[in-house]
Amino acid sequence: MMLQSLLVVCLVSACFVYAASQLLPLAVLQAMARTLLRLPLPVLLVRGLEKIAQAKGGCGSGCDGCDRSPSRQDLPGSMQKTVERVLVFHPALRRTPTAQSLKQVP
Amino acid sequence: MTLEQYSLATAAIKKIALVGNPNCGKTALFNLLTGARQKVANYAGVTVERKVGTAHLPQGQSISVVDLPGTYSLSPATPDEQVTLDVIEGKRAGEDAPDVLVAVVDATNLRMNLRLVLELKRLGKPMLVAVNMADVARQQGLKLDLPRLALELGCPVVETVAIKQGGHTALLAQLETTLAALQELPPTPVAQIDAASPAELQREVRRILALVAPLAPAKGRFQYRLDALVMHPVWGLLILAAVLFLIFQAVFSWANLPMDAIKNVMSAVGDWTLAHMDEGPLRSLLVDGVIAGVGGVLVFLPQILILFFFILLLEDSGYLPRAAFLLDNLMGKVGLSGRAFIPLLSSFACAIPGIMATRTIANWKDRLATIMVAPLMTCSARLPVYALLIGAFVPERDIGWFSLRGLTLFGLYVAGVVSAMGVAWVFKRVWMKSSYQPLMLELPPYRVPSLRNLGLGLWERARIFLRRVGGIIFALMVILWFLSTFPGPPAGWEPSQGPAIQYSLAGILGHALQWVFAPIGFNWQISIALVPGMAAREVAVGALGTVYALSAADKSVADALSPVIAQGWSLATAYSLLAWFVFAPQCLSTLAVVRRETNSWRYPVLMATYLFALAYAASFVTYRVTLWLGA
Repeated sequence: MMLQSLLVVCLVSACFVYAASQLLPLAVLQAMARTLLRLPLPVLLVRGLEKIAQAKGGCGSGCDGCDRSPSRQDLPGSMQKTVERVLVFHPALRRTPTAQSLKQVP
Repeated sequence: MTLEQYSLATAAIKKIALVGNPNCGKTALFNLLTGARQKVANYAGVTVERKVGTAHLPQGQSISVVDLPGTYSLSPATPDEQVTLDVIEGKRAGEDAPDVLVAVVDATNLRMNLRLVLELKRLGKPMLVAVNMADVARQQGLKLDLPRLALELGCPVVETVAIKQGGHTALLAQLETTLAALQELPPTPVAQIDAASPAELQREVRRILALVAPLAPAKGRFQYRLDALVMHPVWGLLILAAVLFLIFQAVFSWANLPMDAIKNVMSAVGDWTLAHMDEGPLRSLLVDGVIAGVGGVLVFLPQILILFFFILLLEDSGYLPRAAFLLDNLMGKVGLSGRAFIPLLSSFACAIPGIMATRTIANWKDRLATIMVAPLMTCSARLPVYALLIGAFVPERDIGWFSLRGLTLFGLYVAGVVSAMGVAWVFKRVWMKSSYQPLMLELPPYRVPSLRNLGLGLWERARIFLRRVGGIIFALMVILWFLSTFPGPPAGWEPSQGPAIQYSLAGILGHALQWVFAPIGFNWQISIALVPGMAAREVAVGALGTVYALSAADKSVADALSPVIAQGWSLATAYSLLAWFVFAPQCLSTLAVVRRETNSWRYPVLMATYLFALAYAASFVTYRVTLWLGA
């Protein structure tokens, strides 16, 4: 019974950590990792937390196929050869008066 | 890492980029070069982001290979084409321009493909041309003078067959030579190209083609005849309806045997665990949490694979773009672009690739409208929920040639499509007004589906599903078991006072949520299941399995959930839950992708809100009408 309880505690804790790592946004995970890194923790755990704290992927999934790859500005000096161009897919609508609309104004 | 170390590390691996028109076989070649298993299909616009992999040259040198979205020119019209241009020009954040461009062309369609090659040549970068689908060209009697083509283009030209093992040998050998020559040359900056008019380029293409393929045969008559039938405004729609009908019939009729086999295995594992373990929390976790919950989801693997078998078959055959043309009229009527068809179709597998596939839509308002309705298409994660409820509440009866269960499933898929069209119509009328964008889509040739592609595609789907079951679904089931078990009932509790789960955290939450969901007929068990269902929709089935297993006096629930809900729920509740899942607010991953693709939280919030409101309204109406009808 005692052993069963111990195994259940381990399994449930591991599942909580796994589900959080999969479902929480990267920004929240990074904030948590940075907070935990202030505590004296085992080296293995520290390495894992550092990885999360320094992750730069857009969704935290670790793939490199998305539009949020690391910015040029993170690279050392002369590596910044090209200027990052942000793709804006939905420019904010600014209603500028057109010649026609100006004519309609009394 | 110092600057020198960084330079050495990056300089050591050369980078090549696969560039070409859509549907010329770039991703198939990428898979062959790198051993990756990226999705390939016989229509344009499958790849919308660049993919990176590593290939090894014959003498052991490793190179980095970038697969780019297809583009017709270097003047990008859509976000996916912009990605291609950015990578080629080295403007992509975090990565250098490729050292060598591999222009992939479809040997059977050089008239279209060579124009981009000529544009790429003007960039002045080291380049070689891979004439892909060389085997198909030979079958069609097309004879290409490759040395002459190389002479005319001023760069090496090799033949490739991307779907055959070893079909890239010549390309690898040529890459080795080209990259060796690069070591001796200084890096070439990207030239500022003068924009040549398309007419000028096409004239040049015609001139080259007259030299390298003077006897090019015209497109086969059979393809035109087939198109005349398949794309006929009446017969075409009937064929499309029949194909979809067959798919949903097969999902139910063919899956019985393997589903029963999985159920029996899960039941045997449950019995074995009960017989060989002492009573305690771990036994309860395994039987009520893992076997009842995870096993309950695993059972639906055969149905998912049958659905994908047909989808992959249609993708590989070249039928899907024809269906897009058939439905363009309907899409136009609700204000959507005809290009929205492929993203919406991809959403039947999962809304995430569907939303990403909207990058092929040039107009922002059209793209946004497609993103907003993509989650209404019935994704494969909803299939377990539908299958469970249909299995429990729809009798196994035939109507004519068709099974009633298959018809019901077909109806639910149609309900998803109709609601997506309705919502798009409203959005386009009141919010995202834009003029109709005519559909311009290249029709690929019909092809006999490749068994290898089919096998790999099915394996990939099975792997994705099993990884979800073994990963996030397993974790959520264990957490749900924990929340449904603790705290335990108070001292002196008797089973006659109700199940122990009602004293647990999940029980308390379920009862609190029931206040919200009671008007639409949901009991507290369903209310609990809806919460983890937000992480992944199929989790709702597993959650019901766990909750009912913990609520039951005997352990038989762990074996079969279907008869338990058939006895415990009214028909009105079952229909109401089906209606809920037609609209159900999508999983968190979908919301995250919408945030990424739209660069704003506004749209995912709006999407979740409108879907929740629609789901609630639809369930309310369904529940009340069914009750009124006396069910």
